[in-house]
Amino acid sequence: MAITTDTVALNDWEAIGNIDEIASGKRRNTRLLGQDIIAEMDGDRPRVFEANANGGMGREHPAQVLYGHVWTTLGTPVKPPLDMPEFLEDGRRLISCGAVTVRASPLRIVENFLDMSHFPYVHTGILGEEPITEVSDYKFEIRQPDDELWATECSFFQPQAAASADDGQVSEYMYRVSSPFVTVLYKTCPVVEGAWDLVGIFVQPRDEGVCDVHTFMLVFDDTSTYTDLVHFQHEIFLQDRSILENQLPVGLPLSPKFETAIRADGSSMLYRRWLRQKGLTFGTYRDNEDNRAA
Amino acid sequence: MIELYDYVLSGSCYKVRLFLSMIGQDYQARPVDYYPGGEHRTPDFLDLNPLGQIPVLKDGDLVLRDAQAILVYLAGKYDAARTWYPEDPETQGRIAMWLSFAGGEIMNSSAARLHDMLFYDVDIDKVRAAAHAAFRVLDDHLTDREIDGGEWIVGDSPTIADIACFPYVALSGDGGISLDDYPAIRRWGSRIRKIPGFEVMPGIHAT
Amino acid sequence: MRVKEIREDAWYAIGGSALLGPGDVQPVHLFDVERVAWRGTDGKSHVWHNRCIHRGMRLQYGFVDGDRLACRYHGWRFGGDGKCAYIPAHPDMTPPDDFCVPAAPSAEADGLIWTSIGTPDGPPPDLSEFDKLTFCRSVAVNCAAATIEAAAAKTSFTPFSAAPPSGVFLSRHPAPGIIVIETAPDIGESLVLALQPAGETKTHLHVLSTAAVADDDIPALRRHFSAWARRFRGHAETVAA
Repeated sequence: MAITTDTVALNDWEAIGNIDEIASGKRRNTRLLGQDIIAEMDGDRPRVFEANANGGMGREHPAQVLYGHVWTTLGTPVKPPLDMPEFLEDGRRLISCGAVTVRASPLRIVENFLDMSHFPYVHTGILGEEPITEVSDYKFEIRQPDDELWATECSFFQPQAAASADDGQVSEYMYRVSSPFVTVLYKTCPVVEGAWDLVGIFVQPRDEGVCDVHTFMLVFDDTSTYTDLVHFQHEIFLQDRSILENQLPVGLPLSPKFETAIRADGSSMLYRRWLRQKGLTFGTYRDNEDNRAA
Repeated sequence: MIELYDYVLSGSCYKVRLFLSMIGQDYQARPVDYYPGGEHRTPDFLDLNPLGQIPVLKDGDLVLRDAQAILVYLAGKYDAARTWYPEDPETQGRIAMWLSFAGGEIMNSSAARLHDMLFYDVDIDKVRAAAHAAFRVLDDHLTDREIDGGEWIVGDSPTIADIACFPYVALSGDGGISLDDYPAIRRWGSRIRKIPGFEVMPGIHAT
Repeated sequence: MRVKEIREDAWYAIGGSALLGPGDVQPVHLFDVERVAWRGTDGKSHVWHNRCIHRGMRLQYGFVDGDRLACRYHGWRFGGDGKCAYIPAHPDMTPPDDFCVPAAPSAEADGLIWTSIGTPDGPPPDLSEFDKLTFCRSVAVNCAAATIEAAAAKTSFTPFSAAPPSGVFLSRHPAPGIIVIETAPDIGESLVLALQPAGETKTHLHVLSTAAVADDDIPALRRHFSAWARRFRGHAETVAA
């Protein structure tokens, strides 16, 4: 497909590559919202260009470095990328886990990230396990003026909540969606009492049904090695990938009548409503699509 | 203590983890920062395996590369009953045939997966077609084995041939290669999942 | 079976009954539609839409829990009637009646499982003209059903139990998706091909033999026509190319 005409999607900031990878001289040829792009570092300054049909540099787009990644926008942003003050806190380690390609809608990827009830079935023995499968009621809301979706007072029993966890624990969570393709969770830290660990995904939609997902952790953990933490995150995320690539239809249906929802899906239903109110169409299921497979 | 240079997403490392679990043999995993770090291309790792591939197994002074070679060694050394790699030459010949297939033709499925997941530069149409051709050979073989009452690739009980072939067959969906055309492969996959000591990896479900 | 006779409201075989055991789940492609076939531990088989009503997950990756099918994503359990019986996220909740996976028509006859993407107005094709029918194997062929038909019109087989024919091989099409390959004069042994059309580049072929054999010889019979199916697949794909 060609670049999307969805201005809601175009006007957001999206992460499009890890800074270390781009800074090491590897120009990143990639794709965003149906547009081939090239990211590179000019000294300390990130630059992002459209790629011409012949692979050369075309129009330049705004770029900035944030949270270990290069961000760009192909439109006119209505708000800056998310604010994560925890990034500057002493004692936290930023673990960039690398990008992984997923053949799925960016919206299904974010919705899965908000979901707790799949833990016992997709992350069995790690983030959940039968028979403790119940999702307790939690709160969810759109917060203004930042226009962010938050789900709070979430909790779930987890056999191995983190790389550093030895035993099961009830983990508490907060989920935050700052823009349609960017989401972060705050989770009980098993090491520092009262602290939250952050785990997030910056979804870079290449096309409506293909994304590069940049995963990161911002955690208090002095004992695990970098590799241990990356492997833990890869294990979790790649378990999700095999689900995400098998949802029908590929696009996320925004109409509440198309898929069945229960109380535990409160944040997912709010996410769909929020996207509908924005008028976002990129990555959604639209009724005029062929739906026979479904 | 056996030491396994390991990456959680590697189907080749999983061959070894799966087998060690099935024979109940303890080991120490040594995580390798394969992605995004590329530790397997560092000088230290290349000293261990000049091919720059995982897994690598250390047992005392012995250093082995190649999942198939490691399975042969582990089955010979640690499976006292010798059911996983029986000692008669005919069976060993048959097993070697499928070990070679596991490290050869089936690895097209791994290449497709590395392309689709981790940006490896491969001719994706070509490797997917080659993986399908390999799966067809395996499905035909397992179909005829089932007709004769056989549940495994070779012989009357599971062998290292099954363990070597299983991971990149089961992970093929990660590389956009469906198993929907291979009913005998799917039934064999269900039987492997019922072997005591079976464990999962991301992309491979428990049932 | 002529191309025009491939009708969406007809029955098509999707596999051998004996190969879908209790607890098994099988993906089904018929025309451009996906279905899932599964058998509970109560022995009953079902063919459903391949999509969980909750978040659209393909049910072919689910698992059987007694006489229920569980979705891989959130563990929702669906009973044989398609109704959701249990939602793990809310163990105390009684799912409403409209939480239901749509079922497709399904039947088991002549050693085969049958389904349709339409509404068939009778039972699956009547194969009672054959005194004995042995399911040999299923095989996926990378070509359209029409190509299989053309290849079948020119094919032959080596009989398993009868003497080699002195005459010619013929094919006929007693029902949509069914091809019978027989000889004139009749040697008393035919091949029955049940086609499962799955698009322009895929047909699943279910191969049955009418040879009269003792039970002890059934494995040899099945191997014989398993080998025939491999060669026929190669031939049909060459024709398609």
